[in-house]
Amino acid sequence: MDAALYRIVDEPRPAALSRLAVNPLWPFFACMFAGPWLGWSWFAFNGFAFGDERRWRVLAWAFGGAALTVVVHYLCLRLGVERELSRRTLRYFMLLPVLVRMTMSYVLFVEQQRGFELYRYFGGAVKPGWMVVMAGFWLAPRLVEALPTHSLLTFLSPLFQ
Amino acid sequence: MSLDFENQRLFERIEAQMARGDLKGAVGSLRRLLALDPDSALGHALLSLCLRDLKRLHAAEHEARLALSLEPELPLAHFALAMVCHGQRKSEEALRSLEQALAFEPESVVFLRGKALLQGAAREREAARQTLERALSLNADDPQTLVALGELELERGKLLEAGRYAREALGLAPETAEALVLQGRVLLRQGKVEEAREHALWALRIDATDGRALHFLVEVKARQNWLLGLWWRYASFMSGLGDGRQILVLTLGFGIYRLLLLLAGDFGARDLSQVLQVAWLALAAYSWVGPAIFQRMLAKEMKQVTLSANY
Repeated sequence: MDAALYRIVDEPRPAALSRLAVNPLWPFFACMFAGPWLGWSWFAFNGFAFGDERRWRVLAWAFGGAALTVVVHYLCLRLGVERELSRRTLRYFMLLPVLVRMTMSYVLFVEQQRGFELYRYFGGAVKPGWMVVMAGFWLAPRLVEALPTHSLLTFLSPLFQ
Repeated sequence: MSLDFENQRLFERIEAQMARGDLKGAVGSLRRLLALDPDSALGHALLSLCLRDLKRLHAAEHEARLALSLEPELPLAHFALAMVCHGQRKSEEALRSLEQALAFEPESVVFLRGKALLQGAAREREAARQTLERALSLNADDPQTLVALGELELERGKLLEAGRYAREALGLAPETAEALVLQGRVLLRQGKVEEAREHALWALRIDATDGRALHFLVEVKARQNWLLGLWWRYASFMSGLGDGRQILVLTLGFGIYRLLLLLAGDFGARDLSQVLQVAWLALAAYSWVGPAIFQRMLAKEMKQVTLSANY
């Protein structure tokens, strides 16, 4: 971007990390194949990498989304246990936290897409992200297994699904 | 070269770029202009209009409000804010701002066309037609008002009238890309796809950067190829929804998919479950590669455009 030109408020301000910027589609795929732990943190990182005008908003959505997912997951499980729902019914009931996760992923994708298009328009470089998605896909189940049972960390398990 | 002269030259260029729909070019010139004169309310208002058409609504609103803070009595700033609010679906604020712009310049054909646009969006088509008739009575030789009237008739399904307005506009200014696009749209609705394509290419021959002509060419290509047409309709539908509704529709789609998967599992319909999963995967892959294929087809088509000697 030419420094002698007027800067429009929504234009990205590339940082030193801009060489690590990726198309937001990759963090979105990471949400689907590896889970929000990777996808959402990647969205937040990506916003800072390409200097997105909405980077703080994306970060807030990512943190808020993680908290909301954990809370909704916990409440659904607790309600299922209290009401003694059958395993079959519980599976339907647990669709709710899945939908919360997915909604958050769409929100982050839509939030970042426009800024990314502008970044590309100004000739910003982009890295392919498929390797990270593959690595996340391989790592996610192993991380869930590694979470110590009967600890507070188990509450984070919905972020790894 | 004096600053005023440089500004004047830039304004002339911006006007020409905006008139032919070269919005990205106009934004570039406006950024140069505002670097020279950051307090130019007119510059900020014009930038707002360009950004609005480029769907950068947040920045467009910022520029319109900046223009108004610099010069509260600038009619174009009120008009720009009205157009931004229209894009943000804030219809009341849009109408209020437009009325303010019209209070300063009641006989502005551009503002009247803007008012007709708002009325058309509110399904007040008869009121929109009357506003455009008034604009036409103020300037009978304005091809853009004729095109707007034609588009209104096209929306109402009156192809003959729409075609008549397009021809009238072309009679006044034969190299008006909007009129060629309107004529092409009429032909497309009549099922004359090849002739419609010719009109799109003709408009692009006049100006290869005309956004409306490019948009129309894409529409024609979408009609010629059903697979890409599907993507085009999906993309148009989604972008027309706005961010919030778009997220709602996507979540709803995903929810239905997951629910059907569970139901298929519970009723032992393993085949249906597999079909659903393959279909979902295909949809994901298609939404990923669709835009790239579309771009490639468009680039191929653009190679056939022979630019006019005047371009």
